[in-house]
Amino acid sequence: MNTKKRIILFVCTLATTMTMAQSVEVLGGFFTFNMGDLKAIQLENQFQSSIEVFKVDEFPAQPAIEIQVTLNQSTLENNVLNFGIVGNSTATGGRLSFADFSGSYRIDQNLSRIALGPFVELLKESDKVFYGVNGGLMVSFTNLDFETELVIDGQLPEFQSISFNSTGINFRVLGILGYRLNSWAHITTKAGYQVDVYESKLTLSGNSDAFLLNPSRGEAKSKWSGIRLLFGVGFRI
Amino acid sequence: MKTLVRSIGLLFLSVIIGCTFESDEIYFEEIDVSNLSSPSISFFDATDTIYLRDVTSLNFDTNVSGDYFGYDVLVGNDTVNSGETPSIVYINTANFSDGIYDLTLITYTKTNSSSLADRLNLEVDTSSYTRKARIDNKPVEFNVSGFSIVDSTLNVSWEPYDDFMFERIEVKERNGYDYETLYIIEDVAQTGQDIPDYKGGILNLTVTIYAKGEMHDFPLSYNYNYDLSIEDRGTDFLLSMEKSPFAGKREIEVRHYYSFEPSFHTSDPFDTYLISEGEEVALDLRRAFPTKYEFRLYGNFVEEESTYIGQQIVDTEDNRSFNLDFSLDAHIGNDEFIALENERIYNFSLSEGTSIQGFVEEGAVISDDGLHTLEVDETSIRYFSNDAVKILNEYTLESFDVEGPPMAWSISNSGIAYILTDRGGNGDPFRPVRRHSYYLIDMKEGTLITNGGHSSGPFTGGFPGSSSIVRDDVTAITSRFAAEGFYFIIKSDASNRLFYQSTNSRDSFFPSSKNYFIVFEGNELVKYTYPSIEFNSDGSSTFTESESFETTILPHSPNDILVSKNHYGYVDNESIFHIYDLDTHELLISVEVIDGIGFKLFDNYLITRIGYSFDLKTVILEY
Repeated sequence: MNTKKRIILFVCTLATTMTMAQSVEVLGGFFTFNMGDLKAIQLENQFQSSIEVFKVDEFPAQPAIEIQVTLNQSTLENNVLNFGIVGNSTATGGRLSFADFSGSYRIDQNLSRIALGPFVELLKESDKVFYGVNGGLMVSFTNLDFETELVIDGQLPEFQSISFNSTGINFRVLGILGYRLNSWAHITTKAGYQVDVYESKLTLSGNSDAFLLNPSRGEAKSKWSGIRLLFGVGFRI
Repeated sequence: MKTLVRSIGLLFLSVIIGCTFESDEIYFEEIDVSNLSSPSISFFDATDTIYLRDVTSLNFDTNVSGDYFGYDVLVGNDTVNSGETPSIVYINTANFSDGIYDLTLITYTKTNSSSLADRLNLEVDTSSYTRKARIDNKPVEFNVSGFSIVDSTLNVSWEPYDDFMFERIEVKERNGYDYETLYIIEDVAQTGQDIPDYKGGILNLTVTIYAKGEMHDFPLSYNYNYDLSIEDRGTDFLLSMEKSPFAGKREIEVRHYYSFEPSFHTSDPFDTYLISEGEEVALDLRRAFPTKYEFRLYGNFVEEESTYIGQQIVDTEDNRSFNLDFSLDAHIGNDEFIALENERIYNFSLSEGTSIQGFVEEGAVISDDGLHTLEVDETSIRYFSNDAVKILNEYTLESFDVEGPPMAWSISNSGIAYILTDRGGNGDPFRPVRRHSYYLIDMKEGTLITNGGHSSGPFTGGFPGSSSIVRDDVTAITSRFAAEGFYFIIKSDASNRLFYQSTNSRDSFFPSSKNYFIVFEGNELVKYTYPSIEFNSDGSSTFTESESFETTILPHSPNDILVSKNHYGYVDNESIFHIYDLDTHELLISVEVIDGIGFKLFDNYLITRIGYSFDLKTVILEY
């Protein structure tokens, strides 16, 4: 399934759940990533490049957007138990670059990922503050674009791009702290860690038989595990 | 409310879908390009106009190697050449008319700025260089005027070269296929060249002009002959040579040879004279014996009074010598003798007491006074006047069974010629006898006085020939001597001259002077005096007086005993001629006979001669 189709599925799923939602949280956050294989690939590209390039981006932590749709809310021993669908999207990348007055050269690895999956949330409310824990298991779809571009003054730019895709399963646990503004709105912060349960090899777009190798000549994989920090608002529907 | 929330949710979905990573970071390096420079092309540093002609190669002498992406060469606005590295470039001017053009070189070189584009060889520095060029395809026009004498110096001149691209003019001397460069003229304004070393003779020059990348030769020659004038003033010859127009002073060496050969380069000169140009020298060329003068001088050849004059000219001012090699033929005469140029006709003027003897080969010619000629060959004797070239008398020898040419001849001053011919041997190996025929001819009258034959051998024998007397004043006398074989004596009452012939010697003498003759008898020389010789009517004779004298007789050649008025001598086996005083028998001198088997002893001269060709190669001793 290519990236376009995955995005369509993601959107359709969220759109469908929106019709059954009891509450919706929209969060923005900051995710960190591992990306060990892709960092090694970037380092290898740097040394093998015929043009001396320098590392300017190495898969930095990036902002993320998440939507959590609670489908069912129940009570468990004076705690609120929420169950629903959560989805998020994030991106990162690495860049090798050299530029001077005569032109520029870059080697980019642009990653984008969407994840979708169920969550369970257990909250304890105290007056207007609530706190709890959130656990989620998401299926993720990753797209990696390798791009090289050479721009020389007076010459036609030379651009090349090659794409890889992969899928994964992630599990995360978040601690929650929130504040009810009123009966139908609240603000919340979440912090936790995500681990990769499974991550497939990065296969070439259009040719699943070809896949990306890491410098050790093993299957290269994107690794999205890392810290998750989120802050957002929620609305009761 | 629910609708609003759902709409907001859908809006966020669209944002999520568009979440991508776009880096804005770049690594930028500052490159210092302030020290970059374009390649220098020294060819274009010059500001003078260059010349292009036909296909011209230009050396641009670039100093940047390996960094060229290419170049273009333009003449005017037309690209005439392109390539990678502009080092040696060929330009064809065939499609351009003569005129001045801009010669432009455009180079495309690597900047070496170390920028990204430079490292990818995508950064090009374009430089343009220009110089004026003249295209000239006109031919080289050059004319050599020729030779002239300027200030006593030979000068070769040419018309000034007033076109482009002059390099140099060379003046070369050619000798066959060899060339020697004498002068190199690099000043185009110079229109001539002095040749101060030239003093005469043939000079072959080639004037070569180098212009417009071409070379053109102009060969020319010059010849100055030294004219020698010879004036026969009767008693001497006045030799003079005009002053040449060239600076300096030269002398000519005149060499005097004795020879009847027209060429005798191997001979040693008898006399040499030095004649300075512009001066006169009087030469006394008289000699008491046949000779010929030859003078060597370069360049002239005069048919009538040609002479050979010495080979070497000495420049007295510069003390240099150089050879002039011209030759003139001449015959010179004087009162006492006449030198001949025709090797077959010799005119001798005999002084008193001398005679000429020689070995006669076929076609020998004898003349005694310049008025008449006696010619002898194998079959006849002809006598004719030189003026009329008319045979006065001719005597055939066939009736006498002659074999071979005449082997001896003699002419007396009175004009009696004696000729001895060889009739061959008798064929007896045990008692070989040589047979001879003899003739006595009166040169004045052209008549045969007498003739006969006799045999000679190791044994004495009778004289079988007749002794008829043709003229009353000539008496033919024969006699014999026991030890030396046969000989006969002919007496001429008119001249009182005796001729004798034996197997060992033959000679003549004037008995009226000393009245003797000398013959070998064994190892002794015996002098017989005359008129102690009595001649009998039967042909026998008796010598009543004789004088034997002891002397050391070396092994000798039996045919070479000569007697003159005061001396006698013979040749030994070592070809040494020993000369004795006739009265005292004292050995005076011993002389090596050079190239000769016969020679003549005059009163005070000894002449050795080469037989068979009538060449007289002389070794003169005066004593």
